[in-house]
Amino acid sequence: MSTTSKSALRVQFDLRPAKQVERRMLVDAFQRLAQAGFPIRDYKYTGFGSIHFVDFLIFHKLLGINDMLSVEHDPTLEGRVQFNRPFGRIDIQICEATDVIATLSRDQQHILWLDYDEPVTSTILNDVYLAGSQLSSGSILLITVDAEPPEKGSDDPHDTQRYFEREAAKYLGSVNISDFAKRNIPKTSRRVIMNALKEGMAGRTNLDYFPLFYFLYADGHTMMTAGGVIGSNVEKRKINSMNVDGAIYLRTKIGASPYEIKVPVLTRKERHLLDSAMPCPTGWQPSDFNIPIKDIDAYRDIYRFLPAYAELLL
Amino acid sequence: MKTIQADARPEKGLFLQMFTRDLSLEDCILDLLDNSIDSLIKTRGINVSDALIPLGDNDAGDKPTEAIVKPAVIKVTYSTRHFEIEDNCGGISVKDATDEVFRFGHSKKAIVGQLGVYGIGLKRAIFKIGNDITIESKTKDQGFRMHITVPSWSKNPNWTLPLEVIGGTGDSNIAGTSISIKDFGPEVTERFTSGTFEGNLREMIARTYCLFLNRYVLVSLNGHEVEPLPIPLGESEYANVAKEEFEEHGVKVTLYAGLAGRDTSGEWRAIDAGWYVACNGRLVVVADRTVETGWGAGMPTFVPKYRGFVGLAFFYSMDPLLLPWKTTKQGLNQESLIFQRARTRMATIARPVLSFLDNMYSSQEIEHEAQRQVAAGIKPLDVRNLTEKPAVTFKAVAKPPSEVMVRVQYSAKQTELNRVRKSLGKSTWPATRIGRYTFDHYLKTECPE
Repeated sequence: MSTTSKSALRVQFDLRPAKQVERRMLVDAFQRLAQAGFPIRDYKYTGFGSIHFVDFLIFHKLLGINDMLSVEHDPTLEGRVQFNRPFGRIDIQICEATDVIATLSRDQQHILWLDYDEPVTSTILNDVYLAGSQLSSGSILLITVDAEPPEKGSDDPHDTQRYFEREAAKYLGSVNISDFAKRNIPKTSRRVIMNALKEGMAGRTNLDYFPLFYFLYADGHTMMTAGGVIGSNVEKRKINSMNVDGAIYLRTKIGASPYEIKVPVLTRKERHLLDSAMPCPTGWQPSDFNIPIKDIDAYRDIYRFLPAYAELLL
Repeated sequence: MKTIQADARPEKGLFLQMFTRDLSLEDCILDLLDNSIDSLIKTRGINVSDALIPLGDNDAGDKPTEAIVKPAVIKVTYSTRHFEIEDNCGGISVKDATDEVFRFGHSKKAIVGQLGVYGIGLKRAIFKIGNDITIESKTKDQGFRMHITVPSWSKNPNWTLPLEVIGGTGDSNIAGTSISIKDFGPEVTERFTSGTFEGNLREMIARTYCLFLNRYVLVSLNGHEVEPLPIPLGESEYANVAKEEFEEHGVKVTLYAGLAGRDTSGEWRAIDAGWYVACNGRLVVVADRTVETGWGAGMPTFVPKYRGFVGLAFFYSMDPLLLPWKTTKQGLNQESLIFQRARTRMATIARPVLSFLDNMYSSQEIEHEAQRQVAAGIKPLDVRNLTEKPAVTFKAVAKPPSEVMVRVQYSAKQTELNRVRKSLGKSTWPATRIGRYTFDHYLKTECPE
């Protein structure tokens, strides 16, 4: 990825199109869940809005969620976070996520998105554990972590193994060195997260975790999101009745491979043309120019969710 | 194919040896106390979930029972040659003695008590302590006396004990049981003569039965009454105690977490910190700071900055087999579903308290002023006063820091000081008074609020 030609094709990091595709796919899934009987509008959304509040904006506008809480752990950002709060209904707490999870109401259903930008740490796993204990039946839990080699400047699996043994020893189970190869870090991260969740749910005999999401994407760093519903047989039945037509991003089996969000780089004019043919049959090519088939396929998967960016002169 | 039967009967001597191996002498004596208290619970119809109801005289939730008016008495005495425990807790009926009390393990039809669980405590305790055992018990109407010497009893292949039926007391207030044991093994004699044994046993009784002592029962050890050692939880107007209740798997669980009261020197004692766990009012875990109660698994590993933390977990059930205790009643059965669930809830309810302590000690070991003031104001409380309170999370409100005083010092020329004195017409004022006066003057005239 470091050759000049490829770098030139890379998009600006701050726009993060893959992340936005993920958000839109989550919205799509939540709409399907709502249709299947989950009262998503009445859920409380808790996330890390930072100063942008992008997830809060779309969950409020597209899902109608009103009860929202943004957690900011950096006290130096308090002023900016308060200033940028887009809606009055968003409550803001300046503290660690851990402290908020322990106080989420057990009488309410939640969407809790632990959207970290660092690799799995013992603190993150502890948060997942607490969420597993705290979240009421029907709640949705999402966890995002960085899935690159966690030791800075080293891709050596041995360094990665040492890192995981330090941060996640009790949730690792039996491993071998290949679990720490770069390509397997998302899988290993997900495994320790799921083990922490199971541990936090220990003793909740009538409840289970039903996976829905397992995303991989990279707007720079490779990120992994795992998520699903904590619920009983009632929720299980609703999930089974959910309309999954065209929801190619859902991952409802614990052993499934991740859904990789791939955003091909296209110009605005190219997108207009492609959009007019979407959804296209496999192997279709535009007549005016050539694009690799895999890019066309990738675009067909995500065009509904892909934002269009333009410069606004305000 | 022919099926034959192999002999699988226990060999008495070996059985007794193995059976008594895994518990300490202190645990044995606590087992005997459990038995006495259980007898009290049965004969006086005490509901252990009320063991925490406040003690206030006019409290509506406090139903005055016979037990409150006049607690039963259990006397434990021992010397190097003789051990005795004697109670007026109601006694064991001849029928119970014949059918249940001396069986190893409860039968299915047995009506079990609330502290005795497995039906082995009494037997294990007496066989552990010594070889010459006498038990005498009288209810109001009837009584029995049992005496055996273990060496000759273990030679007899029959698993029966001789009961001599005797008369009752005629008065339920003095009905009770006494167990007298002689002929100790060398290990037991050694423990009884140890310089720390009595103190240790006294502390264990004081902690284990802190919710029963002085209320339902008085326990004396070698003639001295044991005072309960309260669970060191505290609160103030600035910091509450978190509470959570739930009921699952036939067990009612109540959790509390908060800050400890500070000792006379204004410190927290690390030895008191941690989780306290009670099953039907009897403590089975005291000030635990290990992975058993979730430290390092769901909660952070215990470090000294958490020495102000106290948590309580109460488990109640009318069926004591559902509770997460072990046969020794020390420690917790980690496989218990209700405990697995409770442990994750304990981690959650503890979190805000631990965060408070994290903030209090965020820079090395210097206590931050706002948190220190909250901590200093914590007053110990009787946990029985918490039962009526609603579920709540821990909140500590930092008091506004009191005015910080700064010392103002400077040097001035004697001649100039005298000029000020002259101007003020106060030739006798010392320099400090001049300094104060001029400061106040400037403050008043130039810095209006």
